[in-house]
Amino acid sequence: MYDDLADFTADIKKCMRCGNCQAVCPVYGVTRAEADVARGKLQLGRALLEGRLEPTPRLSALSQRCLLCLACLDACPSGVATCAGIVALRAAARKGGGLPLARRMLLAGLARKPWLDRGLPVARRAQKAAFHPAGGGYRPRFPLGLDVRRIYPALPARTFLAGIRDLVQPPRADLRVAFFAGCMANYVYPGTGEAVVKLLASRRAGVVLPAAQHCCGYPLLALGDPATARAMAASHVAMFHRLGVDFLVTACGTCGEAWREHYPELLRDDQELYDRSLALATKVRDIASLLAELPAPGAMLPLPWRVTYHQACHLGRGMRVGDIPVDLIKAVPGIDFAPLADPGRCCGGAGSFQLFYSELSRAIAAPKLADIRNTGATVLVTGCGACRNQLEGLLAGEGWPGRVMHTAELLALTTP
Amino acid sequence: MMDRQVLRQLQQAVGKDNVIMDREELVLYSYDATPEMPPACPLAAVLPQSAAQVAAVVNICRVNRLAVFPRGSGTNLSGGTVPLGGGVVLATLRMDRILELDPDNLAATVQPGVIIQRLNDAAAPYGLIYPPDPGTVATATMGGSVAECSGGLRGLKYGVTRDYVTGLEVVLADGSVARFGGKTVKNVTAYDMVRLFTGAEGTLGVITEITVRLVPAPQDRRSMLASFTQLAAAGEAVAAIIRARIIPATMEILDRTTIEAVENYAHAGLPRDAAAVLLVEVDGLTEVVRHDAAVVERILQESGGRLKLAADDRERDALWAARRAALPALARLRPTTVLEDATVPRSRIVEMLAAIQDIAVRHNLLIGTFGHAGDGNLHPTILTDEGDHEEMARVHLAVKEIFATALAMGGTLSGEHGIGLAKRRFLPLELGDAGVAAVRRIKRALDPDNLFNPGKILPEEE
Repeated sequence: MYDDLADFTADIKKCMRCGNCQAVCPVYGVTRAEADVARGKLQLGRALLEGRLEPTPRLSALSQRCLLCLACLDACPSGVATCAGIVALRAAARKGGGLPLARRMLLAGLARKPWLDRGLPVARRAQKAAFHPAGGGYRPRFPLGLDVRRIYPALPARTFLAGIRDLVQPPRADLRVAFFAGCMANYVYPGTGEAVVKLLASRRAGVVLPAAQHCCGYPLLALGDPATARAMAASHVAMFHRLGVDFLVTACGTCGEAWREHYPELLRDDQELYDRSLALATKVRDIASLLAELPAPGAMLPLPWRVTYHQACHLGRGMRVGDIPVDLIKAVPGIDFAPLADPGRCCGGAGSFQLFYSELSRAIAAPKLADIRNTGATVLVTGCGACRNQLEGLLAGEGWPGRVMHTAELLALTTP
Repeated sequence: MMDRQVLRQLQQAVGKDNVIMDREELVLYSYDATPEMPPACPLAAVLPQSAAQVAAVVNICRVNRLAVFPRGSGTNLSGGTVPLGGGVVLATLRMDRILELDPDNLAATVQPGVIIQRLNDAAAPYGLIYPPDPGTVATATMGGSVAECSGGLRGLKYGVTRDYVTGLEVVLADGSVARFGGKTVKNVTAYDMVRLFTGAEGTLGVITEITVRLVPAPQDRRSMLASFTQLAAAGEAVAAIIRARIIPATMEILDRTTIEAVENYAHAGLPRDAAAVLLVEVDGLTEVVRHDAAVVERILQESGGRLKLAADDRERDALWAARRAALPALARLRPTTVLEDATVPRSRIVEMLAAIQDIAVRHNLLIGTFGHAGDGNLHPTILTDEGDHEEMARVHLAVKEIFATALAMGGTLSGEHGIGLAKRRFLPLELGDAGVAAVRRIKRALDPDNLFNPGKILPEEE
């Protein structure tokens, strides 16, 4: 699956080209270029399958212009697996070359945990040299291919996983939970990881943190490298299968989706790994969903804030967490919750998309930023590190005075 | 490949970023929402930003003998934007400004690339609506919808696109820019050129500005759903409602095949033993709505319908969910969906439905029919597989019979999708030789070089 575009022939044929995806596609909404919407991408796939097009660098470039935000998947009357088809198109189009160097480097890095682990202190020093502090983070001194109008988060001194034991065992543990931290919580926002552990421990859950866990592999899959993504899926399934836990918790919708949806698809050809990945998939919970399933630990500390919530695409349309995070936030004493007009609209961050298409990403984010400002909230909560990075960076760049935090961090603040 | 010099001229005319010339992207301007169209790749696609740029493109194309294929969002169902034989696709998507909202004159002026829903969103704060609401209201452009004269669910009470277009700016084949009509309700100056270009499917010129009439938003509305065990009873209910001189905003019908598909897909709570479901909505002043709803409810019940009412907006949405699910539910049954729009006088709607069911049985095809019972516009939806040539041959026979049946009942080939490429060979069936010749003379008079959207509407000459 994903390696061969031909596997998607039925889906591509099912697209009746009605164009309903145009109404919901954030990229098309800005550019109005047919190549940017799911209908266009699927027709590129069809032309490739039918031999009307060859894999070329241009085709590869066109295939990359997508947030994989899943909005078209929900809007498609024919039930076409749009995003999976686009991922397969990327893999097929890459065969003609044309993935830019920066993206190939990102792929190489994400596939090699030691590079990232050793790279973090180097990146931190580089950030201090090439960026200047601004808005609680850093602003690039020079473009460096980055958006100089936004703020990038200050990188931590050490990774989340390096700063914590492999097992956090509360005095009385009723259940065992494995925590898959993901890159954002491990390398950029260790506070999110610490909050997840604190919340779970406070609910009498023993937390298992395999130190060898790395990137979930979704970014590689998404950029068109299913083979490496498969190897990463296999190593994670083998690693977590042994733990004998009740739940596998994630703090990122994309990681959760990788475990739930993509690992089984990727591992389909290896019966043992496939069965194990399916068994693990049933144990996967986003941290907010798991908290809602577990008994509350008692009185919460009040937070006197006006709060709004941005729904990450892969949490909302992906893991289908629904209103759970919002209900948890609303239950905090003192919080004045002001909903966004359109909480599920993509922020334009989409992992590395904001790095490689910064202008487009900013244009996609514009309505979201206005929506946030209109609520009058001083705290923006979201359940995704990548969305947080995007929104924090753009809002701080505009001088917005509020704070952005992960759902887990907000809830951890209410836990004594 | 396109001549380099011509390409450079196009780039100069509209700007480099607004000319598409890579083969990889041009493939994406070869289709619309119509199944079974020939693959036809344009030589270039341009996205002009003003009428002057459109005129410049038209001039370049005329001089270089390149056809111009006007295009909006490419959501039409008649092959209307397929660039037959190459040429230049001219997409108006980047002319997307609402130029004026004039509540005092109940009018709005927009560029052709504005999405229909956006106009409605802009009119809403003034308590106004733009009533034409094709299924593509959230995606189709105003330009495309005027060129196709699209209809929608509210045709019975509110009419169709042509009933709202009062003024147009059009780039003609000689590159000149003409304006017809305006904001006034009354205008009898010369021929009704506005209506000529409305529904001309881009064969006579390129629409670059549109002035439309807006109407007050209805104060209130009420929806009712009735299921019938006999198709004839549903037809009787429709007739009785009109006989009672009630004009509902919508009166939608779903046939047995559609009901089953909707239930399997959306579990909307429709009775599976029903032969037909009617969904009726009345709107207007609250007092009127109350009165009309009571009459409609009584008639539906007296005709043998089992009623389901909507007390509030939530319940209304639930009723409408069944209707909205009709096309998605059907489309998922088979790989290819052929969506027709045969239309008959309202009084013969049940006869037509029965005839379509008979055609489905005779050709061993799966056809679900839903549509606008209030205005006689049905959507026989043939679920098939483009790859199965034997079955497609039967589909073509069935389509031909559906058209012949509709015409025999005093109906038309197309209620709202247009003729385009898909139905041009049937044109003589409805217009006769004299009618086709008259259409051809109009085309030749306004577009002597056959520059605009060649191969559409008119059948090829022998």
